[in-house]
Amino acid sequence: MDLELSGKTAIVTGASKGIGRAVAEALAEEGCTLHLVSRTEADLNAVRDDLNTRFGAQATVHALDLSNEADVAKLTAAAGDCDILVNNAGSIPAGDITRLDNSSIKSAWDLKVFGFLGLIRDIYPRMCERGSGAIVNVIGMAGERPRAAYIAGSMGNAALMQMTRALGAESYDHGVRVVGINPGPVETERLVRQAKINADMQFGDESRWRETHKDLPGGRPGRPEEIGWLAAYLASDRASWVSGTIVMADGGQHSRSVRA
Amino acid sequence: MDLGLKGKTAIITGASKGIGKAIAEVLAEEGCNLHLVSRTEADLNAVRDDLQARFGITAHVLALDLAKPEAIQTLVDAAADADILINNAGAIPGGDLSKLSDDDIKAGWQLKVFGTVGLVRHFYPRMCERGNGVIINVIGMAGERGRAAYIAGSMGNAALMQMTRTIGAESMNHGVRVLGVNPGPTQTERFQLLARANAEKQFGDAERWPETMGNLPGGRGGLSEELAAVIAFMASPRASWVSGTVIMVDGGQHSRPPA
Repeated sequence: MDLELSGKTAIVTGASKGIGRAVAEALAEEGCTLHLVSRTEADLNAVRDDLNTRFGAQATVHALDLSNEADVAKLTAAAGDCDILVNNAGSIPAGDITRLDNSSIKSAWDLKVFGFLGLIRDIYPRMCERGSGAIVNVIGMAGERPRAAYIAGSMGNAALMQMTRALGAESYDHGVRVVGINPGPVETERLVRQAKINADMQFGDESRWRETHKDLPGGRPGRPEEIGWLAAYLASDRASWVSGTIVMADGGQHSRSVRA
Repeated sequence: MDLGLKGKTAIITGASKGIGKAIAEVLAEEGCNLHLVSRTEADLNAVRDDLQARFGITAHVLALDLAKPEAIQTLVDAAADADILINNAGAIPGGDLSKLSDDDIKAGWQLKVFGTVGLVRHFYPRMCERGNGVIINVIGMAGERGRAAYIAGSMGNAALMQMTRTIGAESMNHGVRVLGVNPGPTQTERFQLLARANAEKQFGDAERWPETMGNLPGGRGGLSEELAAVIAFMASPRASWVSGTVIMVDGGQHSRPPA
């Protein structure tokens, strides 16, 4: 299927590793020109060089902290005319409500919630004016299936889901699409690190970390590229009638009756 | 993007027109061999001949009424090893509860609900045994946003959505994916006939039917090929982590505030 992404320009935030990197890779393979954003310039340079070597993709690196409004403004000044915006940067710390005061919740949301909002506030109107564009928000399953022990993430993700629905419900009147993806657990470096700690606690052997995932669908977490392919598809014109909705991507876990 | 669909075998029900026909076309373009099912053999033959000529795939025609249990068995016997099952056949009649007897509702569900359930009952265990396969149920937005004037469809679609979620929640344990797609209003032939009739009534001019689309996203209904593209992607190994969920495909209309 020709996704007709060749020659489009895309911003991918959180692009230096995990899901963001996989999204960048899928878009590069389809011929997009990329703006890669994260806090760590060295990692971004490595991704840029890799994508350039493998796919001949042109990529510009932006080492920025999107929890900071000035950095959001720098990015929109440099790349605000993009065809595609993939908001992916940010993770919200775990903890229940007794352990998180308002200021720690606010600072956690500065990147994941307000970073998304800041870019959309600038870029969405430009897309509407142009009459085309796609925004893909990579959110997280806690927005749909909340957990008290991840209260700030559950709330922040729900807020982003509703923003996605609210904007995406009217965006097609302007030729623009706004969609979300809710990944469940994905095998990123961070997840593996945590699984090793769990395996060490459970079995006294961190090398058995895969066994800690036996209750997930198919006995495994998602893979970054599975989210990357989905994001590339949804960003493409072959998904031209998908807007104002969140696609759940977790192998079906969110529909299980009891949390595994 | 290579969807990895080449050489796979797909069953498509309701394949002679509208969304089903568009799905057949996209899957054929991606290299799938097809089993095309609907009640009307002549229409299916035309689709088969067209797709075989254009894409060099093999397509089989099965003129069956899936509202009949024996037809389901016939399809199972003919296409037991299919990699992909697209349940798309069936339209549930409109009407509010006062206008529909229980028998009317049961009859309305016979094809869309029980046809889908019947095929899943047979094909899902086979896919699980084999350790791979994809089932996509094309349902309808009334299952998510019900309407009293379409009560049987609202209920039937909700039942299919929940079947999809329930089975798709466990199916990855067997290497199988089960998911749904909910189209909103789609500009099929039937839809356009209705719109033209409305325009005739409203403006005395059937040609002005696009003006009756005012409150839809972008002022239009979905196109069959837009639905088909989503379904082809979701049927492919590139959607390998999507299961137990129903994807809304209506340009965002389901997220709009009530009119």
